[in-house]
Amino acid sequence: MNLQQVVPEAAARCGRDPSRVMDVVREVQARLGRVSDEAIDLIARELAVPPVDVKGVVTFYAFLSRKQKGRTVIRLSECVGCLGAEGHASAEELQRQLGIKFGETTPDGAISLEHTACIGMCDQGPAALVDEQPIARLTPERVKDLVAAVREQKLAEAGFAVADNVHKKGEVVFAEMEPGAGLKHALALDPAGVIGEVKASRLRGRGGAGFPAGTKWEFCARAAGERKVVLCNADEGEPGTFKDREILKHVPAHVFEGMAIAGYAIGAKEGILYLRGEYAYMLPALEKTLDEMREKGVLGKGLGGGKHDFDIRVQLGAGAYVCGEESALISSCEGGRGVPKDRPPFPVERGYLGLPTVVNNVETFATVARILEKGAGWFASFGTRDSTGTKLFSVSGDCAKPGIYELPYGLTVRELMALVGGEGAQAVLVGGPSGSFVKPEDFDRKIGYEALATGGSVMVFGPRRDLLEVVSGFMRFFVDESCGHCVPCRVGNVLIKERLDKIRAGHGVAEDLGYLEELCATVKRMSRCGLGQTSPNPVVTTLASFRGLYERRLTESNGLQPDFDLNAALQAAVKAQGRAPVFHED
Amino acid sequence: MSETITFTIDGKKIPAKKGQTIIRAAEEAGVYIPRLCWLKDLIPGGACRVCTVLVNGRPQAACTQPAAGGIVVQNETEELFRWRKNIVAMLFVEGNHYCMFCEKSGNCELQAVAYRFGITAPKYPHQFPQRAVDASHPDVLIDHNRCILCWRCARTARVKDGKPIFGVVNRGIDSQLAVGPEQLGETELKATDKAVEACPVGALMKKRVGYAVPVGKRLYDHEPIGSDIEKAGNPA
Repeated sequence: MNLQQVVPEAAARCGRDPSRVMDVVREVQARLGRVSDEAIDLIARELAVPPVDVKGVVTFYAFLSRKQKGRTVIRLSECVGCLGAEGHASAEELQRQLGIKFGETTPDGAISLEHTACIGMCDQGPAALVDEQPIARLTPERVKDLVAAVREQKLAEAGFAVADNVHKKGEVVFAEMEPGAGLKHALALDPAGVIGEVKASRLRGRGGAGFPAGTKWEFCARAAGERKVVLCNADEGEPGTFKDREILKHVPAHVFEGMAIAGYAIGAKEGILYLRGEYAYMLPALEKTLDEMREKGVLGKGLGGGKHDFDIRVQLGAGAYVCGEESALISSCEGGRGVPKDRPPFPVERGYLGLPTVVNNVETFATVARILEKGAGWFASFGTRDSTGTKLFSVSGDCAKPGIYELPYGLTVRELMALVGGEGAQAVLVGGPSGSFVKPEDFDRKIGYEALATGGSVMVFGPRRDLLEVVSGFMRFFVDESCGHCVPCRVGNVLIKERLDKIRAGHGVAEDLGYLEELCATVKRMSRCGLGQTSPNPVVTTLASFRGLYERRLTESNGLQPDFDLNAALQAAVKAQGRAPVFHED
Repeated sequence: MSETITFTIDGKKIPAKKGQTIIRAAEEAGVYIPRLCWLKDLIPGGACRVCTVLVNGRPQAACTQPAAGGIVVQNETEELFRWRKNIVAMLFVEGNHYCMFCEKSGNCELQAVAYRFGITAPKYPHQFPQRAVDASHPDVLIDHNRCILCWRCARTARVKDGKPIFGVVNRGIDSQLAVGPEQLGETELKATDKAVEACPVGALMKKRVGYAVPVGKRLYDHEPIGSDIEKAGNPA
């Protein structure tokens, strides 16, 4: 296989469409182990895109690389949820077994070892991806088996299958449904009637922001333009979130049917499911479901025997949390860097390729199919007034039964902890790092948009966890995942993490807490998209609820520049001289 | 005929054409909203966030937010002043800026905005990134140390010069201005291109013309940046 063969083949596969750069670079990476500068120039020529833009894409996504990777890439999740004691030990063992460090490739070019952000296996970490295949519940012992299986290319038989861990199936998402039942009811209404039904259900988007789905659809339906698009956001990357993984595994047809219903409602013929690169292993099963639905007439030409056409393609991502932000998702679908767009215009007016676009979460679409099947009133009978229906919670961390729970909105943190066996927690993080750390005194707060909003992530931290280490891990995550377009998020998060780590190391002084609060406020208020507007939350919410954790690590100011670490500055001299410095008191 | 609307900035009535951004309407009415990545007649970038104002209490970038009838915009509040100042302070430690011997000194928008905000010393720890200088072009050089990633050159080159030669590589704090192909000297950039003039700092510069203007006659030697806008709108 060489470049001159692979690039034109990949380009031809997507009709040399300049908006499909992502598919081409993904294929080149998969087949050649890298996207070299030569490949970048070739791709640019084949797709008639400026070379600097292709280079921009290749350098943006974690799973693409200009440098040569091994024939197999092992990516260990370095997410807080995965990196407990077993995680660190497994990381050590991986390096020992492979004889290389993270970021390196074995001398025979067989295996590369890397870290990666959350891969959505939080209920069964420590976890890794071996190329596309997820590997769960790693221990140092299992690492040995894993490396042996990779070397012998017998990974499939080695028994590393991912567990389901769906502990509570509710009435809305996971209940049985006759294929096409929701769509059938939708087609019996006119498009405005479908939107009316979704509005009447008071369904709010399940991705975390909670925008009313029916209102979004109404805006899009009213937007000018013949061609419209339905986009499903399957880029769940918020640490602690893995609900879409189980929805796409167990009830993908509900999701696709919900998309078809949205298509009918807004007048769109095209749907795209944007699947995060970490979930690429699900692609064959999803394609199979799509084929089955086309055969049954739930997708394709003349839906349900009517006049409306609707079909769906799956767009794969390549490792970038920010793409879960709806406008960044659109940029990525268009083949570019996953950089959010300025709003207005909102996607409902000008989204994918400038076309009016509805973007909803996987769970939202699955829920829509059910609402159309059973009715808005039935759905709204679950949950609370402002947060109707059931919600999928992905629970991970220090609890007896991590996994998926479909429960009506409105339960308290305490009730949820009793269900999952997380009673002794010192803190529960609701909504992932972009959400809030909740302290035990507040466990009677309700989970829902009126109190504790969440896209589903619930992380339990037991009494022995070092919460500030957890917070620092999340800040590293945001530093790594910031797209870099705007200043406050790009630079501010680096500065927040730096000062936090100074405090953790015992070098912080009282002024540092005010410094952090001011920085966090700047990043939250001045950033361009939801990532930056919420990235300081791990620090903000722990400073509010667990201030003692910071205060206990502070040191007395010695009158010198508080952010100057004398010991660190002297390290090189100490090493060279072989003795510690002598300080002369006044 | 475009429809005219009215809104207020810090209580002052501002007329605007429908669809016009807040920053443009403000500028035409003699109100200076600080900015770095915005350039007149160029698609806005929304990148530096220095032009953030409060629109009905919510932070919005004035360069991308359209004016709408009746909106209440706050430009000069104590909080906004602090947050903007913080952002500018971030830029000074993100890159390696050496005002005292930079050819752009006195004509530099970053330096001028910093002076207007009263920034005299670094507030945050310097990051001291390792950044390169690209001197491969005969007439123009890129010093990445001084680049603030405003993408004015990239947008200008595409829109005005019709040359998509600048772009962005990497992400997050590692983001960097890039040229395609590899080096500036391999591109079709000319020293007369509008992109070269678009740089607000000393990152993209013509060679052999540094320090040509003596101290005292440089753009921002006597009056703070933005004074021209304020004067035009408020004749004495």
